[in-house]
Amino acid sequence: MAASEQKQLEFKVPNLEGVEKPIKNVIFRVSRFDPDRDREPYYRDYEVPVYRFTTVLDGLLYIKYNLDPTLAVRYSCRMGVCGSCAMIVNGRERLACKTNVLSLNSNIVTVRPINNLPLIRDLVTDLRPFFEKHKKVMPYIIRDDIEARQDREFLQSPAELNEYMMLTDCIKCGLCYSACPTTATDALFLGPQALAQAYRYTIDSRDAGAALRFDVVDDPHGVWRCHFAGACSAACPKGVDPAFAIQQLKKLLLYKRNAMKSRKPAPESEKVREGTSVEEVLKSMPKEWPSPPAPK
Amino acid sequence: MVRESTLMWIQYITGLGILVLGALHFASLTLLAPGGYPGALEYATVISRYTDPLWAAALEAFLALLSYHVFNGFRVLLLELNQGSGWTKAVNVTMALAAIAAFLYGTRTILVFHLGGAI
Repeated sequence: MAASEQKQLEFKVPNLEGVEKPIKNVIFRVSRFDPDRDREPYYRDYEVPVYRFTTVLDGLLYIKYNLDPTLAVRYSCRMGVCGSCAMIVNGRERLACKTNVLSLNSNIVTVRPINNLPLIRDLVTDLRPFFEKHKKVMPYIIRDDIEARQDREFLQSPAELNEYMMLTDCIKCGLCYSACPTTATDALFLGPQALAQAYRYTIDSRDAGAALRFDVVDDPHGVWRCHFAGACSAACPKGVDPAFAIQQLKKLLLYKRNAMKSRKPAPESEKVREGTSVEEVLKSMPKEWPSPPAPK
Repeated sequence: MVRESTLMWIQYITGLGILVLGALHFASLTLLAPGGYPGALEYATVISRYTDPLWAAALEAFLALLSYHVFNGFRVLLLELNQGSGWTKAVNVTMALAAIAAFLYGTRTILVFHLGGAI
């Protein structure tokens, strides 16, 4: 079916005509790739009117809904929270929804998918290797008594919280993974995001899973393969500093391995949690979350 | 199986050792040479360093540190360039053997000169 015969899409980009005038037209040079048709990605140019507050994502959606509905782009929240629209804009890892087109100070905006992940189509990459590595470092509190009393909270001081607070801002967008030079050559390298989260949970005073995580990160393709290029921290749109966390994780492994392994996790609060118990919530949750079908 | 953290800890320590002994090595051949800088690299002057037990021991230690640091560094580079269990095993064994071979060959040179011989 030709593009012109396709059913009109219902969603429309807000029409700003009459409200304000476009400041200029910008060429969006977008990487295109259809696995059924193309052998390798190529760039295609589109002319997009840009207003004061037009973001790169707005531009891509303008293309999708006005110029070429076949453009594949992953996005969701449009406010820098979900991390879905991670891509490389004018050579740098950025969130498309957080990048104002005029701030790029260029009449050509080159957009391509993030590095180091398999390409599905156009700007959409397969994030499964990234999330598998995230899962591998056990990014959750591990302790023997966590299942026993679901109605309690664990005590933590503000100072203990500050130890890892910055790392909780990670939105798992994959920009650090794309920027990492080690990930570019070592497909088994855990990557900055997973290693930073390994540190985040290990240093958490409520956690007692250091030994388990050390086994995962102290590997020939683990934490030691980080060469401290710092590209991950420079790329992070949320101000997380994975490079710092990875060096701290190395320090834990060298100087505090035994202390961390034998550390007693924070005690439980005496106060019983109000409202629906965690056990009830867990009972109502599906045992396995449905996964999207694998790309061909 | 040795932990990666242990291998890398030794890598850092040997790196620091190489910095100290390497500086000493170059200084011994230049500023600290008998008679000073002029003629420091003359054959007799260099040989006099090898025949001195302390300098020979320093050279041997330098060689040991270099053998580990260089070949463990190669191992890291090669493991980053390619992946796979067979490749990992091959790289680990080859680099360990190469380090031992380099150390033994270097030791032979130091010993031969120390005992006054020539190759």
